[in-house]
Amino acid sequence: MRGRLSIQQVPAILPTLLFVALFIVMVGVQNEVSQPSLETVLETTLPLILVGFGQSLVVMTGGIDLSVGGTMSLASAFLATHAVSNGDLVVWLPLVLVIGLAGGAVNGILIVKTRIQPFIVTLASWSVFDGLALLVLPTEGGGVAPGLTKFVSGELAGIPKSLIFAVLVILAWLVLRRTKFGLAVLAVGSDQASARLNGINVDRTKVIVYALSGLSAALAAIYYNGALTFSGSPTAGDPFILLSVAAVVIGGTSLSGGRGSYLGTVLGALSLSFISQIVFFAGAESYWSQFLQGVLVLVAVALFSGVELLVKRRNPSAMEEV
Amino acid sequence: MSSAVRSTESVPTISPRSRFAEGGWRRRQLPIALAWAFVILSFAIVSIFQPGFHSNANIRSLIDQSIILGLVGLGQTVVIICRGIDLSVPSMMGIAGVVLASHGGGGGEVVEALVIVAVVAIGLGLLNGITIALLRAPAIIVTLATNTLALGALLVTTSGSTSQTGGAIPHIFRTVATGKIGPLATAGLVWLAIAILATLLMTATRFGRHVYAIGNNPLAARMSGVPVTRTLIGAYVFSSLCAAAGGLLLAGYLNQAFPAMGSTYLFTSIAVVLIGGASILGGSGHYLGTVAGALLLSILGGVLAILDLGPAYLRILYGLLIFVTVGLVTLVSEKSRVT
Repeated sequence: MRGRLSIQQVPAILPTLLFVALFIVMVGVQNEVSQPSLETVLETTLPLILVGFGQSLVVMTGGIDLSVGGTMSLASAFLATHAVSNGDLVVWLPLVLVIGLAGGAVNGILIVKTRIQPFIVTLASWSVFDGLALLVLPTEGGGVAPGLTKFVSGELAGIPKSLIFAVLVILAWLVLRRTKFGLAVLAVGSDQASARLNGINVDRTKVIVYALSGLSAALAAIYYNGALTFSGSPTAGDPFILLSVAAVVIGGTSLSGGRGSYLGTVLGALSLSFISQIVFFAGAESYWSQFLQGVLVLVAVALFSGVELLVKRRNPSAMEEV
Repeated sequence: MSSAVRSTESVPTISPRSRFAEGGWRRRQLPIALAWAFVILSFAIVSIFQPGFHSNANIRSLIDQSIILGLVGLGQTVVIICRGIDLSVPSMMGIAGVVLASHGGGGGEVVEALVIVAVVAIGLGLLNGITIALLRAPAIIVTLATNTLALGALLVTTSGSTSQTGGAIPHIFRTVATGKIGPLATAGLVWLAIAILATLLMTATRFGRHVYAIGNNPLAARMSGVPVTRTLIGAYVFSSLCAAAGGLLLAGYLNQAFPAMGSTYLFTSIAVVLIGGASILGGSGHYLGTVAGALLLSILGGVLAILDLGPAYLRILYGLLIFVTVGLVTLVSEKSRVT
């Protein structure tokens, strides 16, 4: 078996192929590839790369977090209204992170304790967070502390900050993957009952995963306000619900949980950005990128589900579901 | 001899009786009764504090608002009963409204618009249903993707006029959405007819029984000869058609149409089904519950308007309402499973 391609490897290979293909098309459409333009792509993709971290972990446990958009909007609204001077940052930067973490933890606790499906719990909390965001900041606007912009944008020792942040979050995954918690995440996703039998605290793992998802959404909002919009929006997170799920799906993480990699999600997020870039440089209307991103997610989910089905059919012992 | 018979009889009575005769009532009918109790209670309370609330005109506008939600919720009910979800309703509503608005001319054009809307709805439903039923892809992600895809396609073809489109809404749709026959709201009568037909569809047809069977246990349904794939595809096509009808009525109600007009229905169409007592785990639920859910959301919207509270409070309230009702239904059905 070693060295030979098997159908199980499709979810790992396809995201890379797609990423490379879209990159080539993007460079082709742009005619030339300059360092500043690549930096811009990374900067605009970074919020998605951050949100995708939490979403990947959640999907790996077999759940889904639709509330990331609401958390992001709420964090963005708080920052834009309360953290407008450098002095405010000391209080509000940690506070926004705590809000994200706590909101996510509440999701996790509700999912674990009430046994209501993750999809419903996070759909409801998405609505609540969205409403709170509108209360804090009714329309787009507000300000940003100069110190925040200085902290998250620009360069450090000649390296763009966006690249540093991306590398940091990828490193966090590579470390996490090897920890007990990282193993627990995948174990819970692949078979909850046997994870429990093997001494894994399933409930705690789930709560932590949703808390991390809220935290990464708050981090995304901090970067979004500080480096991209220089203000806030009570609907900042809306596009990120589909996009974060899309990045995870395109990245090849199994939607039934148990298998996947955050590296795939990063490739997925960048691929989605490449599509916007290609549409922009091809001179087409920006709505085309929405359409094409939708098509891409549909094709990806159809393909990977089909592959999973084939694997199950070949291995009848794994066929416990219809 | 007789004792042997008795002993074999006593064995199978353990679970089926309690679960389907007594527990079954709690699991299926109690949530619906609760939803209606909520509706009547909230309506009574609001009427006491706000005497104008139970005026004929207000009740009529309440029904006018709820019927759109009730229509979109009908499709969502069927999909949720067979363990699915349809997040693509907003795009379908936008497409239906915009196509109608751009064909505002004569009778022939209206027919043309309806044909286009029906074809698109069937196409979208087939896309959802086939991907979900044949490839076993998760419904949440598939319909989230087709929603983006369809909305993107609509924006591309309308060159992205996100606000009101130029055309006029044909008169008939305004009449259905806001008119009245004698003292009764036209929309209310239409809704009554739809509710009766929906109840018949779900209880008296083979399709309805298959939907419940799949929701209860897909594997058992397949084993006992239920055409699972075909029924699931049918459910998603039905949902898209309901969303399209809702979009047409919404255009009539607003007397305008724009691509994003259905965006709030992503959440509310699911909310009304859950408030109506359907289990998100499938297999249970009734359209009468969804009707109660739609009425309840409209009453609450009216209350917040009286209190002069904006859409922010509405969203918070909707979210909390889902927690409470789903929590209650889960509690009730868990209990009935134990007893």
